Amino acid sequence: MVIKSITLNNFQCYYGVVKFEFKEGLNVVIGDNGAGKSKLYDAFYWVLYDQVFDSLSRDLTKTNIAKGNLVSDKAKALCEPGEMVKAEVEMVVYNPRREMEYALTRSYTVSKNELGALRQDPESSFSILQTDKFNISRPMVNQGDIVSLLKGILPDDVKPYMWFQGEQVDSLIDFKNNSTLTNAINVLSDIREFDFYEEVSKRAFEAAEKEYHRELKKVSSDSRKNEELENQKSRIQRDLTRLGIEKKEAEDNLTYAIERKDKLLNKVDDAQRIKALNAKEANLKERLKEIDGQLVKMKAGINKSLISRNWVLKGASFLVELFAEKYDQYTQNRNRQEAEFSAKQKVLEELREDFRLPIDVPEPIFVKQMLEKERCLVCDREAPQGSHAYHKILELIERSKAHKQKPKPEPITKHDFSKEFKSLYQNGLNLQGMINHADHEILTAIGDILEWEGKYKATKNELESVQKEIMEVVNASSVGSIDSSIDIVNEFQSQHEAIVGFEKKLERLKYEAEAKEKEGKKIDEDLKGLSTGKISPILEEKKNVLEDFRDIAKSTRERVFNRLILQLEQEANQHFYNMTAENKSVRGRIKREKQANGNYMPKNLDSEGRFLTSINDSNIILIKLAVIMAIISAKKSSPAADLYPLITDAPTSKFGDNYAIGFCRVASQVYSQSIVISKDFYQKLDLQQRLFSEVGEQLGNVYLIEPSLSEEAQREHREELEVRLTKIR
Amino acid sequence: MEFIKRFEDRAPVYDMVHREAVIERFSLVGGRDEELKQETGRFFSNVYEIYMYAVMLGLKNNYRIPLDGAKTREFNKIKFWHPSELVRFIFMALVARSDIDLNSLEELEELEVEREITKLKSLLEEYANGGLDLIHSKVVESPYFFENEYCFLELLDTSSNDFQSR
Repeated sequence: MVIKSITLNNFQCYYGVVKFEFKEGLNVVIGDNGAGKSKLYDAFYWVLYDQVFDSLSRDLTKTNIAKGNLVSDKAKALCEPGEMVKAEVEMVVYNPRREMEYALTRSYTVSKNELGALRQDPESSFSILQTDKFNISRPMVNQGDIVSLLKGILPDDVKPYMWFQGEQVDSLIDFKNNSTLTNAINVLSDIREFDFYEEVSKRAFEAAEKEYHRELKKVSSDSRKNEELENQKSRIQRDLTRLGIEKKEAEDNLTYAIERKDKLLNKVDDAQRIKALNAKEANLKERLKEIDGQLVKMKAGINKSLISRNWVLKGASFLVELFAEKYDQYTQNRNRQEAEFSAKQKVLEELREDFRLPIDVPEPIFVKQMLEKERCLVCDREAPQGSHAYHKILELIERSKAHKQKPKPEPITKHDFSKEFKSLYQNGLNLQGMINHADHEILTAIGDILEWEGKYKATKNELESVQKEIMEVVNASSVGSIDSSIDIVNEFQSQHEAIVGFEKKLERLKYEAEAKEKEGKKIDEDLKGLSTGKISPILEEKKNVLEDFRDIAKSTRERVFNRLILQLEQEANQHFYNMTAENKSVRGRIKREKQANGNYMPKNLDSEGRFLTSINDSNIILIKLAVIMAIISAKKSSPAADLYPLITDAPTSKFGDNYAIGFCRVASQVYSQSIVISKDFYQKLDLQQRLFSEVGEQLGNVYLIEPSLSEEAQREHREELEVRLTKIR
Repeated sequence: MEFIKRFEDRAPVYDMVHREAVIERFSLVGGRDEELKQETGRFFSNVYEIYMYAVMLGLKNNYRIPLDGAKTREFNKIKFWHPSELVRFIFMALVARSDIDLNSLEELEELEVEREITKLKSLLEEYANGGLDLIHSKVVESPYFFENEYCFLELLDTSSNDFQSR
């Protein structure tokens, strides 16, 4: 189908009749913000689907909700009481194969009562007028015909890829969902026909096989054995079906696990690095804590040592000297006193000790005997009582008594503190040695502290460096946070294990299935052996032919699909290259990657074949556009595809000028008809000239739409708003 | 050991003006364990420790201030101070700095000896008061000085020159 024109009459901001005519190739409608670009896109959508885009809810709204908003404010303002005003959109499409033209018209009416109040119709009305090559027109009334025509213009499943607004592109192809591309291929390519052939051939073979076995049973020599073998065959078939389901599940799970692992692949190195750095950080923190604890102890030890190790006496050695002077004086005096006393005592003693015999010599008992006998037994001479000799003997007794009763000597002084003073002096001398050594002790202790402070500083620096490195790795990577790095590493490991597990399972299922198939073939042979008669060769041939047909259909479908994917990759890259030809900063290419479950995923690689992870939004959207275009180009061989028109509103709104011209140039080559509504060329004559020259013959009509009011004034005076249309090419 | 024992049986006092700014700030009043000292950031575990420090500061700098009329507070008897060799050194230094004639002391009557011991205790309090005054002045003049972990060690070092010039 080719869209020939769209006519808006009092539709939204379009007051009165505004008609756009389109040709095959690229048509461009240029307009600034608020010029009515989105309303034009709405007009296409409304006429076909009875819906418009509501900018408030950011969603599509049906007529019965939008109601009077569909009608131009100016038209409503000018509508007199008792009159009515209609919003109408007519889209004319042409089917070149049938040489038929269809005018699709949707209208919605509001009216003003005599008091000027607005009455709104509940629904819109829709009609189609078909005109044949002989210019004979008649309304299309058959509902089936209408549905068929609408599908012909744009089937629902194709719609998202052909009619879209710039902001929707991102969601069209979800690179994270591995079935998106397959879905798009299914929708936009002929591959479904091959799916159909595959299914038909499979069923045909199954039917032929059943028929063949029924015949085989009839000519069997041992019907019981035959039945037993048939039962075995059925069990094998069931097992094979079960194995098939298990295989599919395992493949899906494997695909999911690979997909998850791939997604984490870019992150896992960083995550592992962060995890390792995190462990290092924890060790350093622990070490720092230990050093800090040690330092606290050492510093506390310094203060403690002031008292416990007597460092408080540092520099106090002179006080010992000071005491020594006093003590010296004291001892000298004391010695003198003692000497004098001693001398005096000696004289007194000498005076008392005027005897030649020592005390108690002779012993007192002999002295007593001598006195009783009045005779000196030492010299054996007479010593009568009262004689001189008798008195001398008597003195020996008195002398002994006197000696024993001798009083203790008088102390030198009243108090004797000499021992205490001496102990003070000795204590001072002892500590003096320590005092002289204190400086060395203190220096050693502070030196130790400085050494540990150095360790603390070095460890702290190392910790800060590790923390900085962690932040750098976190910021530079897509890991997100330190916590998620642990999750990533763990999930990566578990997905890796899951992949290994599913691969093993698939391997086992494959062997099991092969064994079952072998067993089945053996049963087939056995069944054949039981045959007594001949089975119709036609029946056997039929079974064999249909088996071949089934296998061919399957392999053909795979071949076509793979070729399509290859073609898709090549074309997508070509489109991507063409769209970005002017922009040298764009790097990368698109590469399809086959998944374990048979689906394909488009991936972005750089020229070295590495995955690109940091490309900007514009590039991602361009890649997506390129993929969509590639699918469309791949379908060009199909006549129907040729007829779907592309209608897009601001597809390149996020891009620079070079992207916009690149997109238009490629779109003009890919789509047989495209209508691009864009701001990119507004008031850019140079760019418009490039558009004219670079698109060349493929360029259809180019329109400029301008509002009668500025975007700001529109808010205040919507009742004066209308859109002026100028055809600039 | 009668003379020393009798001295050590006394409980000295300090001037209350130094209680908050010096005694309580830098020591654990009541005496606690070493761990609490670290937790509270104090430098001395007991009042007698900072007191001995102050006495030594006063003795070294020969700086003493009488406590005449000051509001004072008594604390531990000297016999409970540790370590004993340091206590003895302080006593020795006090005797050295005092005008006591050791020979004459031995000739004094009991009551007079007691009076001399009291004089020595007062001397101890005066030197302690001098030392506490030096620390207190430093607190007022250079409050950040005591942020330094080695402040009391440094004070011991720098004090001789600095304080003697006062």
